[in-house]
Amino acid sequence: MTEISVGLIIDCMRKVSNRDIQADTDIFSAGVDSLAVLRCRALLKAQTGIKVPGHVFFGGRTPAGIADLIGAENAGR
Amino acid sequence: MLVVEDSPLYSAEFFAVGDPYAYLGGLRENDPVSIHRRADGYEFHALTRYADVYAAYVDHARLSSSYGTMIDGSYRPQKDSASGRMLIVADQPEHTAIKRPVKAGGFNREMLARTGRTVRRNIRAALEQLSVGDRLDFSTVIAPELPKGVLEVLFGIGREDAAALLDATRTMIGYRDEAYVGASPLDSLVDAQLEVLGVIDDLIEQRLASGSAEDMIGFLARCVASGELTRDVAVLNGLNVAVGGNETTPHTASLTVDTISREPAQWRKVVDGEVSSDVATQEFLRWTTTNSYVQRLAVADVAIGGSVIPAGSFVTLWNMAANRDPAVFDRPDSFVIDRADNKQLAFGAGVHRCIGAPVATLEIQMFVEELAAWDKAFVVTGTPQRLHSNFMLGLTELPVEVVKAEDLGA
Ligand code: HEM
Repeated sequence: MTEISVGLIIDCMRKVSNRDIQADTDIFSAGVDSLAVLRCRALLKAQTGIKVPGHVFFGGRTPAGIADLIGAENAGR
Repeated sequence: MLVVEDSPLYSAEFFAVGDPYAYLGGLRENDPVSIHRRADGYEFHALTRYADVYAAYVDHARLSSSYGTMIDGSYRPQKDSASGRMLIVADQPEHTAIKRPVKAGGFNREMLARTGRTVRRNIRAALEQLSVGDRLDFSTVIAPELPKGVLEVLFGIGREDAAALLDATRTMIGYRDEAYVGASPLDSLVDAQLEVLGVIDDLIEQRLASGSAEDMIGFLARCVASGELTRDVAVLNGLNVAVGGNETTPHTASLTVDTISREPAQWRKVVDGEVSSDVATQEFLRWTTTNSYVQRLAVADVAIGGSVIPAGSFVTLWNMAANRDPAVFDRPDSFVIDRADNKQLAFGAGVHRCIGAPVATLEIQMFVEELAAWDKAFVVTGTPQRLHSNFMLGLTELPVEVVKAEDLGA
């Protein structure tokens, strides 16, 4: 299965939010809203074919946290 | 001024099993403006008289909507990213700029006529499938048929997509009620919100490509293309309409059926044509008051009901208390199906008055007409379960049996 890396999440987040997002930036404190998450998710899906559930963004909060959660959800499958 | 610590008005449980009408009635009579606190420090002023609630609605310059219209909509007096971009949480001048296209695209005369035809067709089809002796949960089987027709027309989607969208908005709004979401409420809330946004965004994409403006989404897409609206604003207001449309009238319909079952003699007047369906509809709207309150933030001191509410305070406008105010309604605590000159406030007032009010009224009126014309009737057979919410008054379960029309109340 295609992996979703921290780097890919950062790239997509930067694209949709026009903000300087790092691996440990809390995206919601940085002003990313639901619509930006929607667009980010679409970019990730276009590149990897994986549809990341919304709660993974809101639970993970940082690109690193989000990548961890995606890993955990896949491992639990 | 009365200050209530740990007020029951915060408690979803109180609205599900207690008597909030009696509590609010006591406030209206003795403490029409009061302060309600919660252990964590949150507090709001509560308005309970019709005149005060109305005055607050129309004072939109000093009572702002952009800090959230629900308690906890945002925890601190703080705007969120939808503020100023979505009707319900926009103040002037943004509100007017958004309302124009939404109204023109979704709530014009022609759309209303098309919606009415679709809604009536759906209700009739749902009723026709039922036979005498059937037992069902009205609130989950029949009630969702009302908004489905609205979605079909406004969003230009089929019945199945409408049903899926309805499920998602329900999860989004009812996230505090286990009946809707089960174990992981917050996960399902954010998944559902993203899903609804995603569906609407996809529809706008399709309309942008096709150029078709047959439905509200198409009209909004055209506004995006012309630069009148940003795509984000179009999506957010599609969401506002979907939620406003889906999460209200099914509850009104369920409480209407419960009321009819309790008041068969009054209902007979509608069946016999002694009371017109529009008069009865207004009383069902008053009696059910599906949206119990809305919240504002005072951005300046506001004198209301003999008190001054200081700038920076949250203010709640209790529609359900206003709609039972003896200063405005005779026998306010009785259901009176032929109530004359009914000034019910279920849709609010002023610039934010429910944009869907004509659609909602039409839905309930068609429902009333189809029920009256039906050769059968619903009898409530078990205890209705009220929604766990202080914001929406509805039922999550209404066990009914289908009987012959003449056997209702016999
Ligand atoms: C019985 C059914 C309904 C009730 C009791 C109801 C109640 C309300 C109330 C009280 C408001 C005012 C909120 C405020 O002032 O902050 C409102 C606003 C709104 N409603 Fe409804 N509503 C109903 C049905 C609908 C329907 C069917 C739709 C759409 C098809 C809808 C869409 C909206 C929207 C978009 C707003 C925001 C308007 C604005 O802020 O300008 N509602 N509704």
